[in-house]
Amino acid sequence: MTLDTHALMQFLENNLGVDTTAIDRDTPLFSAGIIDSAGMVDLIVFVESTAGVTFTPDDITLDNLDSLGRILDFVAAQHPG
Amino acid sequence: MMDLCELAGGPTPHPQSRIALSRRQPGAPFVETTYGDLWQRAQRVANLLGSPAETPAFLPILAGKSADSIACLLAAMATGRTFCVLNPKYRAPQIAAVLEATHAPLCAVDGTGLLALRGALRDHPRMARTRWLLLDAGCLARPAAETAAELRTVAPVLDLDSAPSTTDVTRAGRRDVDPQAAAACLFTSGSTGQPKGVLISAADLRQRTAAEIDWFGLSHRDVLLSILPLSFDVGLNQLLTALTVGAELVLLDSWLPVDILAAAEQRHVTGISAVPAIWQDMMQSGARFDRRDRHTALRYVTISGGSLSRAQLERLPEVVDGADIFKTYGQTEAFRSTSLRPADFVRKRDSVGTPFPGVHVYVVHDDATRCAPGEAGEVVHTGLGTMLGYLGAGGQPDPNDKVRPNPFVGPDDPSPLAVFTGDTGHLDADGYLHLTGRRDSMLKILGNRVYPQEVTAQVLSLPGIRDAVVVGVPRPDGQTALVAFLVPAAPGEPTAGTVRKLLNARLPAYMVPREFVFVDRIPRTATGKADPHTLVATYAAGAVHP
Repeated sequence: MTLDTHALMQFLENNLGVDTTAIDRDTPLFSAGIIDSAGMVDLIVFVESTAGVTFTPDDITLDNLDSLGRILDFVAAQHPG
Repeated sequence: MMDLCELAGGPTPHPQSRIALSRRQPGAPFVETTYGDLWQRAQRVANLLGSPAETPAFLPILAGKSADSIACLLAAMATGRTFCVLNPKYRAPQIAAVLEATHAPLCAVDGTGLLALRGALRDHPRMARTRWLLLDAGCLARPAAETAAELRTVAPVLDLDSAPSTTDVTRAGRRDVDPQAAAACLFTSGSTGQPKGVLISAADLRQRTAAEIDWFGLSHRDVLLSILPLSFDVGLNQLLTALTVGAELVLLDSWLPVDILAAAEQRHVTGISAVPAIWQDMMQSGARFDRRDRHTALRYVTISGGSLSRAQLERLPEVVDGADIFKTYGQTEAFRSTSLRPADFVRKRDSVGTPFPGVHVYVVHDDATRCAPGEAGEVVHTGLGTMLGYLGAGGQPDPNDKVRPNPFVGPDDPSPLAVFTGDTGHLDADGYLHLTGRRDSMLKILGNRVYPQEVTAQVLSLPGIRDAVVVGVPRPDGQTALVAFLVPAAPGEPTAGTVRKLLNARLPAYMVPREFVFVDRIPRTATGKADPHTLVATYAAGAVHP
């Protein structure tokens, strides 16, 4: 499965119970309290298995995770070219 | 005019160019706010607020940690208002309850706060009867901007950006603020389902600030890392101590270990206050500080608002690479009852320390007589850090409540009020306090107080649920997770996803159960009380699949 905004929104809606009408590509997720650390773990596992990427411990930062756009940019950077 | 410089607690204002706050947005470098800039922002808000029409006057602040939200807090103090920084995880029902309880004519809000109001503005009439001060109208993300637009159709909204800026930070004529008036109101969980406001006097805020500056040896050379929310008394006190000594406060929104290490490195952080969940996450990730290289400035850390397991306490010194570790113990109603000094960390590992300066701690039987050393009882706190009372209690102590007349009042302990904490423990022969548990069912989830029966009541109110009970279950990393056992009215509906979504709209995230387990029945005792023990045992054994 490709990981895109839609897939992420579906995951947030169905698995984390997030009201996705309240977020867009750039909405801060963690810093706005939309998801907490437990949700963050589930989100990382979903991204890794769906997009076939791996987060090293150093990758787990708000820079890489705090919005759908940041997550997708991180994934894109793992698959150069 | 208002003299904000006096709020610094000293006769000499801090150099205008010294850094007061630093903060970074994801993907961007740190932005610094100087003391001069912060004071100007606060003056601007104070000019906008003016003197309150009547007192007490509350200013709820529904916003993330920022120069502007802190400016609102300072402006409230300068204009004789009681500030209430709201828990950033609050949802619309809790926010409406706060507005109702405080009768606040104005509420400060930013983009983060707007997200909590989204979709709920018309559900809570109080929101239309409040004026709103919007802190960041110019840089709202789309969903927040949509909510702001809707808010403008429902209630008067002032934009801070449009308020006249000022370079006039006056030093003339300090406003007389009654030291016994409430300077702050921090909301916390009671067992009744509504947030309870804990009123704290201006005098006590000053005293607890001075005591903490002394305890941690703080000076303008310190750089404190603010991970905890300002709605939490430990987080609030970090802010007040930093502002009083002229230190830098680094505002961090992330609890991620890598972000904490990076901020500590980039800003040369000297002190970090944290709750057990933060340390547990850090240990889980394998991250650690390095005081020989990246974190040479780090002096001390705290474990506040709960405790770690023995194994975790043995690991922590290595995680913080030998920095001093302080434990602190207290609650919103009684800021800090005890603290354990670094020198005692190993020797008194199971203890939360000795009474904090200005505090008396007693351990009592049910009849309020004192226990002997080693004897278990309820922990009672008097002195510094004691609240004025709960909002709405009319100033009268309730003998059945947490705050009561001090049974030990006398020449050694003149405090009129005592806080019966609900914690159980004992004092050892050396006068160190050891905690053993709670008299009630209260849990700590990610540092927040949670009464599981409140969550149960919310679940029971949802459509399609015949019966339910919510319990706290310990996780391998030492944190407590909420697990809900549900009996649906009809098989297969509602789904766990539906229940989670409904609860997310009503409750702060830390009160939404981590897991939902559907069962055929909830065992109950002869008196009808839920008896979840077998359910939990089966769940823990992995035999039940959510």
